[in-house]
Amino acid sequence: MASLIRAIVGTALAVLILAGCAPTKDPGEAGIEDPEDDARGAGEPTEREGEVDVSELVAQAQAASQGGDHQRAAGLLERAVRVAPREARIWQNLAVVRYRQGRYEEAQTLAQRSNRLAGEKQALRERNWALISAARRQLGDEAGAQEAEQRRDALPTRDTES
Amino acid sequence: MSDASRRSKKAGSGGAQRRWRRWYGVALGTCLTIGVIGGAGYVYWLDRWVTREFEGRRWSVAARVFARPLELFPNRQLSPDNLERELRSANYERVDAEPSPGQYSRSQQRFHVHTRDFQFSDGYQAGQPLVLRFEGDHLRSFRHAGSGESLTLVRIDPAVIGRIQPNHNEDRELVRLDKDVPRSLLEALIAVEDQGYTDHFGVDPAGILRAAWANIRAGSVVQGGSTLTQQLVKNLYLSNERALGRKINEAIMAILLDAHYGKAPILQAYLNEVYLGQDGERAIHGFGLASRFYFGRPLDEIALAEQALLVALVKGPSRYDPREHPERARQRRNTVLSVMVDNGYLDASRAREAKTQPLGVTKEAGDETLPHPAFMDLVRRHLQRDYARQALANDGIRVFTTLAPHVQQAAETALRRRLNRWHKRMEGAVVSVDVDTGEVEAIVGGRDTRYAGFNRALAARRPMGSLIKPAIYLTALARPGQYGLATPIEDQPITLQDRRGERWRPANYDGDYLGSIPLWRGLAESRNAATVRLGLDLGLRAVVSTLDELGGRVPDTVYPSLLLGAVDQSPLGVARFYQSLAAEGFRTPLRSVRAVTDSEGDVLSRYELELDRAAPDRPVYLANHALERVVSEGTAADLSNWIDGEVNVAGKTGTTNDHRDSWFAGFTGDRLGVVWVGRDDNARTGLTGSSGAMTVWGEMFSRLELRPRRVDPPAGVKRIWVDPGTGKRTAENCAGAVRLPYIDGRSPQGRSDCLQRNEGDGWLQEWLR
Repeated sequence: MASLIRAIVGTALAVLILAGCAPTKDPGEAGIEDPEDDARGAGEPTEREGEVDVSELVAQAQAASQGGDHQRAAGLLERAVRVAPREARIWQNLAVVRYRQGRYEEAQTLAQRSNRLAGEKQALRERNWALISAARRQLGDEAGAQEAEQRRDALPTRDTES
Repeated sequence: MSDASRRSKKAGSGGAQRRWRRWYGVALGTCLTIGVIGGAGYVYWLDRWVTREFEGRRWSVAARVFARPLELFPNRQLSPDNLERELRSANYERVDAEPSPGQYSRSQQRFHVHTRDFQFSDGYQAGQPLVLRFEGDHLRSFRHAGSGESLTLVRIDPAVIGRIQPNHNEDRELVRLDKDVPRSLLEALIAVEDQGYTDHFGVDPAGILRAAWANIRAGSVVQGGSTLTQQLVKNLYLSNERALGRKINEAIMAILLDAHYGKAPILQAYLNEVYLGQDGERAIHGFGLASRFYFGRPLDEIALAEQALLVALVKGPSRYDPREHPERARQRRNTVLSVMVDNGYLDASRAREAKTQPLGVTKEAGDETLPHPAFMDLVRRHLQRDYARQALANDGIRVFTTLAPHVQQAAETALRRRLNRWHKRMEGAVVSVDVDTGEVEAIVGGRDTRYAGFNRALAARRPMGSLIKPAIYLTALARPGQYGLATPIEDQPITLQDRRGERWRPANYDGDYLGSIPLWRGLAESRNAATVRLGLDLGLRAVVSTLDELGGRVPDTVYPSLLLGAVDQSPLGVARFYQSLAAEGFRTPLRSVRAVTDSEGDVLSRYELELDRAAPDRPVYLANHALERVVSEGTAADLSNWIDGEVNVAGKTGTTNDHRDSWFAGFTGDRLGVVWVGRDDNARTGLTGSSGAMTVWGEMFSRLELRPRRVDPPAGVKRIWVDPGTGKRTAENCAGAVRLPYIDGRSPQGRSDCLQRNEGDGWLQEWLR
């Protein structure tokens, strides 16, 4: 019973995280987001050299994932990863898709990979930690989930994006 | 009253005869009835057979294996020459005029490329004309040639790198009548083979007469009397015997086929069925494959003269084989062109012009050579897990692999050129992997890159030697309370017992022992004695566990000699191990296949990017820093002859006992390369890791776009100044100071004399100022 409640709470939390963590965006556009957002929102410097516009791929992946075709979404995001492997947001999007597929271990690892590439993009890192926390909870690792939440809360407060 | 009864009356008592006659009539009638019913039954049976076979026909098509498509986007790092290599491998033809699909033109840094329509595993992409402008090794701008619109991301249709053959050696590439077949080719075919095709009912009595007349006039057989429908029937259903019975069957079946299906489906079937050549054991069927086979290009891209040549071949693919009998083929082609003129399909001037064209056949059989046997070997092994050979071979499935043609070419050229400088029996192998995705970009299995024999990249298992050392240093660095990059370790002789209980004294390569050295130098200079001592301090079990987690092969029984790489490993296995390091501790299974689709493009399997934590990121970052020092100042310092220091290559050399194996594994920001050089008979090579394998690596990577390794540390790692002699903290301006990354809170405790003095000086100087 306890595990059932935990699962329900965990799922609800995950939905909240995935749906509502980007304050500047329509919460209906859950999870998969345009990689340009952070650069725009936070006004952080970005390296233009070799940077690729993968927004169309990401949009297609988002549509596929929302339509329930996670496999296709993952395939499109993988292509985005291949052309822009240092784009932290894409790895995060892939983590979200794996989470939706119930592949929590991979979701967690992908979010960590995203974190390593996120640099100073605080909003992105917050979402990664939230995702890691939710994934760990799904895996029954309550202590790990709480640790991830602490890591998230310990991040320097970011400038408001809006 | 009948004549018969009158006669019978005349005959008087001719009752017996009358009875006989009646019986005769009945018998005749019965026979006729049986004959008609039987004939009708036979025709019905033929009809059933013809329709069942025609509708249920599964064309035998070999599985096609594709390279990865080249992705184009603005500011992509890519040299113009490498773009051209990619285009050529995908059978693009260089032209001076405006390119059609499958062609490109180049003037120095500017390209016009017209891509082809292509069904990718994740969707269809229509061909389009592109204008590309390079600056140095960057694709600066990238536009649609028609609209001028700036484009963001376009794939070039990929090279065909191989096929997996149906068992009965019949191959084809299916074409659609309305989409892939040039009108002029159909006209040539009809003019030469069956002028009445559009009007007859399957057989063409008038055509037989016409053909006979034409042949008499020409003095040789220029036209056949069989319709295309009859020819198709013969190929699909009947044996090759020349008998009247067969001719009759053929005619009946042709009529049935015509009545059932009409002209277009029969013509399409004919275009795909007709036999047009032989490639060793493989029979080339259909115009689609024939076009690839003779011209290296798809059917809708070939010129009029080339179309006429294909039609010429219908009459006798071996007799008119343009590679074997070019003059005969040319004459027959020109006859086809003349017949087209006679039939009003072509005006005389165009025919004259086409007749002056060269045959245009490629020297080797188009896409049908197998230029990458070593890579295909890996693909086959990969697919065998999921597909029976039968399923692979018969359904025309499409395999989308990860091979990067220009990387493969760089690896082949580098290995060949370096090996040619050494002993003629020297062999080698190269594996190249994309660091982030684990995709295998290139595999070279030996000196002869076209030879599909022993694939050393996968099958040669050799002691990995010093390439194992990062596992030991990573084990140490994962204990930050005990070890940092500057922690002193002992480079002193050591005596051990080996697996046979004999005394074993691991020696340093140069025979010197340096005494106390900082940990990073043990790896950078590949000190054997120091490394063995460190490994024993850590415990063999801990080292083995690290090796295992990084994806390396762990031997059944472990001896201290493991610390110096006494474990056999293939170059691919080494790549697996180094990929985990290159990806900062994220292990990804190496893949050679992205997806498999059926002939319609529906996905049968997808091989996904998987990610797994092999080691925590901070210790891996420290270990990679030491590997960077291997290249900047250690055993691989000569790599600077090929690669600019700004790339921050990290790598490791390996030399095994008596110079039997020469290894190098190294990675840039996006690509890992592993090179092995040695001899199949395990003889001495006289080469070290840096004089052998590393030079192949350097030559290969100098032909490629280099993405610098990122050196910004992960969260929780800072760079501090350390005194390499004592391992204590020091200041930048102190003699010999080295800047090394340390995990927060784990930096060295002590402060060097210089640092203490320095701080004092600083205070004094400031005061004096």
